Amino acid sequence: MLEIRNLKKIFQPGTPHAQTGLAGVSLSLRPGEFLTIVGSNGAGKSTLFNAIAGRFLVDGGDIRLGGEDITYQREHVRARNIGRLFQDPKTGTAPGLTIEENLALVYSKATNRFPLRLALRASDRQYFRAELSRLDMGLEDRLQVKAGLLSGGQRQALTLLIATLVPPRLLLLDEHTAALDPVAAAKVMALTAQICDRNNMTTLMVTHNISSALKTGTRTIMMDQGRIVMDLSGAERENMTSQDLLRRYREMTRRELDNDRILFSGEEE
Amino acid sequence: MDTLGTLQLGFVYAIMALGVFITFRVMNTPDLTVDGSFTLGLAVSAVCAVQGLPVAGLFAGFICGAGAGVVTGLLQSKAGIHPLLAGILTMTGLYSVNLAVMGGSPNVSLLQKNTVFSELRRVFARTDKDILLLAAVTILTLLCLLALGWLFHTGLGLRLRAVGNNPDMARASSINSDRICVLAYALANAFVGLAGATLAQYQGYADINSGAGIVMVGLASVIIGEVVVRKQSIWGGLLAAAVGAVVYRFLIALALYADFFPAYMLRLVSAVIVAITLAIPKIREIAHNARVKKEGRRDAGNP
Ligand SMILES: Nc1ncnc2c1ncn2[C@@H]1O[C@H](COP(=O)(O)OP(=O)(O)OP(=O)(O)O)[C@@H](O)[C@H]1O
Ligand SMILES: [Mg+2]
Repeated sequence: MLEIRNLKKIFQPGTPHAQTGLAGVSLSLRPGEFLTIVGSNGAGKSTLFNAIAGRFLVDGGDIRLGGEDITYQREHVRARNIGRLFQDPKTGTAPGLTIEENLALVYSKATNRFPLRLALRASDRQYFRAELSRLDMGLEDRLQVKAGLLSGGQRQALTLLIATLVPPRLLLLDEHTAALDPVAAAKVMALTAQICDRNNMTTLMVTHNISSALKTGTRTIMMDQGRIVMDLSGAERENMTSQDLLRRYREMTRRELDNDRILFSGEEE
Repeated sequence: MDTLGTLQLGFVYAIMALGVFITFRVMNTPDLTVDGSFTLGLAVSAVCAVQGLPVAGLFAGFICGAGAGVVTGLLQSKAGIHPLLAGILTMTGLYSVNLAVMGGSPNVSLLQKNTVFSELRRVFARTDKDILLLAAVTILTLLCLLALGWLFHTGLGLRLRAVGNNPDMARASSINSDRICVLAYALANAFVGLAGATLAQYQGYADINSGAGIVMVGLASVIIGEVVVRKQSIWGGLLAAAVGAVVYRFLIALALYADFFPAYMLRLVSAVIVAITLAIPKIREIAHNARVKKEGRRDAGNP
């Protein structure tokens, strides 16, 4: 489904501030595969996502999605096939639009409805209500509430629903539960697993919670300094604990995984 | 005080306020093109009326206004120029364009020429002149309001609102935010142009300086309207803009009538109204902090 070859990106090249974002990343995902990504701050995880989503053009390498070369496609064109969630719950919804308008915005576009037709029909409302009730947050009774009034967890769950209402070829989740309190984070994580499973969605998820990275999905990679340094799946991944993973990282890079969030989550078990 | 005349003028300016609402509230940026596109509307409308095409003049004002908006939209989305500067650039350039449209002269008179309003008077000869004028501008404004309210609930309208509300989300939802931005500015200035076009035929002349300071009038109208109409939906916002424009005219008429200030102080008053309203969140915050501090001191005083 996703085929990435030797992706390279250097920020502000030729200046003293030059930063390596991606130093040759290759990655191949089968349809329906759920990949989790871990790595220290600045490892290039978000940069990889931004490259795939087209925030900027990469310096080298190519990206294919569903057989189509999207390396030089513009961001909003790629977005037709790529759903994204970010850490900040505010990024995924339009706060001034109601819940149903947020859904209708994406739905009317994805279903190629003529742009000068009313975006919300009675049948749509019915459908949105049914979909929202799956989130189990009571949002189905608050269709006319502005999205900006929802809690972080509710907004992130709504964003998840919006991004998958018409299942994209690829879903990118960049620490999408990191800004939520533990209860809301667990809830959104459970919804994520449920929705991805139901739609058999090809998914990439960045998380700083190592145990959740190993538990969620089917495969885990670790990034460091713009590279993929570990790729775990199958039995090897099954038997790996957070402590093992941290030790492997230490041995490999001779550094501690420099992130307090990771240490916390490592201790959680 | 000329109540009917004030109402008529209020409804003409309401069309302009609807346009300002689109950029100021929906797109979240005040658009300074308005001064130029309003005059452009007056100019083309007057010139068309002189040529004996008053109805075409209104359409031309709408279209030319849209064109001005496209320029501002392109300047900021494609050329990456700051939205305020983009508006100023278009407005500045339009001054020459407007003079060119009016054949190099600073004003065009429609005395003895047919206008849409003189045509209406001819058709409805028995109706009272002022009532007829009022009905005409009210209907025009209502049509604009309904069209915009409907538009903002279509798929395209939701995209417009989303781009103004959360551009990142819009792009992630595969919306071409550049194109939508250009469209929004075109739409906004189309209504501003139409308002100018209507005003030219209503007052019977176009003047190169008619549009100076119109931005402030538009912003003040939107803000005043929001105080009167407190509904925070799209319909509420549009209605507020229109009502605000009428109220604004009445405030001005009242002030002049009661001799609160001379006519040349109007601009200053508008600017002060807008400045105060825009500062309200900050004023609230300061008041709130002062209260917190005071209570904190008092609590410290009696443990
Ligand atoms: N737009 C940018 N301009 C300059 N440098 C950038 C930019 N985006 C990322 N970088 C740099 O690229 C490197 C990788 O950053 P990235 O955001 O991908 O890290 P990350 O793995 O997502 O880290 P975190 O866990 O903190 O989110 C960092 O050194 C960062 O400073
Ligand atoms: Mg990141």
